[in-house]
Amino acid sequence: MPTESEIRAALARVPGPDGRTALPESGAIDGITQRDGKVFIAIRIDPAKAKQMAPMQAAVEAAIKALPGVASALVTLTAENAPGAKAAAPGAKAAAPGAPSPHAHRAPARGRPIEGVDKIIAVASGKGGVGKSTTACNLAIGLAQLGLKVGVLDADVFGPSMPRLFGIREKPSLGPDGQKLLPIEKYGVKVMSIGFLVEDNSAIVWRGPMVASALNQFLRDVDWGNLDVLVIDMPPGTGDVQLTVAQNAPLAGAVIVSTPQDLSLIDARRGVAMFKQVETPILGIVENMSYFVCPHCGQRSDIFAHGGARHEAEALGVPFLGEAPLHMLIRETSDGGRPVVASAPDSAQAKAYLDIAARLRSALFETAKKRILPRIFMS
Amino acid sequence: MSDPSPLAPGEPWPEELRVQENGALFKVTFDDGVVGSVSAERLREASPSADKSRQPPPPGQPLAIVEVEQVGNYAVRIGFNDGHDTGIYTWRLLRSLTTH
Repeated sequence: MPTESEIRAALARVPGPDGRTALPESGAIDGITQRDGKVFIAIRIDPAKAKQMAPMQAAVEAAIKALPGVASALVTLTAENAPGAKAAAPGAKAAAPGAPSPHAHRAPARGRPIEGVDKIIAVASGKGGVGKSTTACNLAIGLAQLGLKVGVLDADVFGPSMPRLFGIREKPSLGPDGQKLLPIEKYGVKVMSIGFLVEDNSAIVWRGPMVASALNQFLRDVDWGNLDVLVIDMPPGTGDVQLTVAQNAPLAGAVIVSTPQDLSLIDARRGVAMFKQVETPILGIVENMSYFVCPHCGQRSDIFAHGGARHEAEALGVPFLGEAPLHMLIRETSDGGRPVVASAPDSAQAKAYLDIAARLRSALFETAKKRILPRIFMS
Repeated sequence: MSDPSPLAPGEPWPEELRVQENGALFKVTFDDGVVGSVSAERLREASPSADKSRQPPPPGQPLAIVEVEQVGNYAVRIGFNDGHDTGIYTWRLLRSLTTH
């Protein structure tokens, strides 16, 4: 049986995952084990490039099999997140030349910009059931009607609503490069949702790190093309997933959706506090289900006490973006996959969203001097 | 995060982060004109990570910073040659470390 150093020597002529560095020097070999003439070797690779790694895998197998005393070789490619793995990722991450562990790739650098996407905004709420996704959907279509190139990323992995709201049934396909998923375009908006990939009534039971990795893929492995704004529909609450998005996406700002009653506003306040903690500007608060107009008698009722979100925004010193009513038309069009801004753009209800979208656009592009992230240099 | 409150509008914001002297020194230039630096050693001691485990740096090498990665809008993650790379340093923490 060959020794481990003999195996490593045999692999010196096989290029590693980057196609240049010899495999033993690439740091990608995760482990070598031998049993009864069988050699097992694990090589850490970037999961996004798994397909291109087949020739390397075959070359490794051939090189090991050629050694005397080896009956068989099993080469496994592992998606790397082994402890201590260092990345040589591009973008905001800088690694010192000659750093001691020039390992293979790991997850892409966090917080670096997404190519082609100008501004990323999060639509969030402190609690569920306040109409966050309906608002996100209508705002996105509204922004598109204002002439912007808009995408929607449904990050509410546990309760994806965008397929229903946009009335999208088809599944996304792979782009011509075979690497990136193509978002589905409807009502002038590019949409991507985990809901496209799982059945309506199947539950997604995921731990935090899996959610983080899925989000990263949706941000970076989707062919968004050129976008002025990418709207991320966040899951409700202020927990792990929300923080993950704030860490992984360079957010230009966040919109908080709340109903006007105290119970909801308390949680909206938590949402505002969370984004401030991670230095993400609050673009404003939207009051949803602001009031109810009876379809029979036309009388208006302030079911949740109208105006609460405006007061809260004033108290917190953040902009108030506007209000959308509790209205049958919005509910019906949302459930029917024909969002009101697209299906009834002249209605008062659509106008409410368009007003909010217009204020959002100016908050995003005209005011607020954006703070530039520091440049990082390694000497 | 050591101090979770967000930066007030007038609080200093970093413009440039520079690793110098083969990773032994971390220099920060802030937008109020202040330039401060902190040794890798002190930076490592002040790591806000819950994982405080410590291994010696590679034999014959002093402790050094080997990577700096942007985290969201508010911090950087710094990796050292002793394998520790889970500390997330907010702008405010960097300010306090480089100027005190």
